[in-house]
Amino acid sequence: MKTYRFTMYFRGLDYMSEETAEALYAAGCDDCTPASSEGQAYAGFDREATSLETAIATAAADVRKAGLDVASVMLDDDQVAGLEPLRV
Amino acid sequence: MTSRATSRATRSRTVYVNSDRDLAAELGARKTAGPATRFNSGIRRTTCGTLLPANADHSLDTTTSNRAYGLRTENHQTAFRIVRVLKPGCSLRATRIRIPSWLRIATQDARSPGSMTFAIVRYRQSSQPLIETERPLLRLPPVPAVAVGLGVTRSAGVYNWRLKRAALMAKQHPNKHIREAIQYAEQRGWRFEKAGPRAHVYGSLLCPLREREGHVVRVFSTPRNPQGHAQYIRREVDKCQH
Repeated sequence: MKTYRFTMYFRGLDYMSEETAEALYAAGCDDCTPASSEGQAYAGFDREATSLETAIATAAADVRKAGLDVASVMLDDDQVAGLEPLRV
Repeated sequence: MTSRATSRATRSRTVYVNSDRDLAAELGARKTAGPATRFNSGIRRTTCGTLLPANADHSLDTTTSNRAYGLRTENHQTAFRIVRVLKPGCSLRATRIRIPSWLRIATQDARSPGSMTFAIVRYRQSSQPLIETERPLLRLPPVPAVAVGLGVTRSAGVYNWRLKRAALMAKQHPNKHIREAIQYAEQRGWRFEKAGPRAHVYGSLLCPLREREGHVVRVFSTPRNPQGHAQYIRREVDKCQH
């Protein structure tokens, strides 16, 4: 299984409090690094999964379990470069 | 020369050190305390002097007799106690004492006659005072949880006590990668704040902008992937424009 690295932004959350970070960990996001800046909370993930889709889907599910809402997901440059080309 | 009465007095005294200065003072005071004396407990007081155990202490130490022992003081700040001083010439390996990486050990040359081999200092974080003290504790500094790391280095035949501020020790994350990442952040003006009694969050890194809008990174105690966690911490630090 590969580790996928992406950053997940949370909707309607301007500050990453300790409580939120605890909740994330407890919900299974122990592979994330919760942070916030400029009025936006987010968490960087290192998720092990069979594919990027699964990685994001499982992470999003865990985040919802913690009572948070996913606004967007951002991929790193190097992560994108490692992906297979899109089939159109 | 130490009289019998003095040595008895020394023996029944428990020493608590709360800061580098206290520790240095204690060690300095004992240094001139006299020649090696053998205590009933079998622990040898040496030229450096043991900071240790009155017989009464053994009752407290029964479960941790070979381990370092710590306590919290009345006002719930961390205090230190040197628990066991090994006999001269005794190697650390022979005592089978497990030394955590964050523990600093004072060592002196075991081969120099009558010198102390090891003093072990440790602190434990707990919210309850563990024992009643025999005498009033030294006045504690206003900063909470000031821990003391004690190290001795040897240079040109002179033992230099290298004392380290314990606030730094308190910041020691169990994982090496994360510890380094926290140091990396601190070198760039970030502050590390240890979290309270929490299950998963070890502490927080805060960027130089002291506002809510500033960067906050929550550091976990046991992340699934410590290296990745550390990388993220470094990345946040690099990204920060404040």
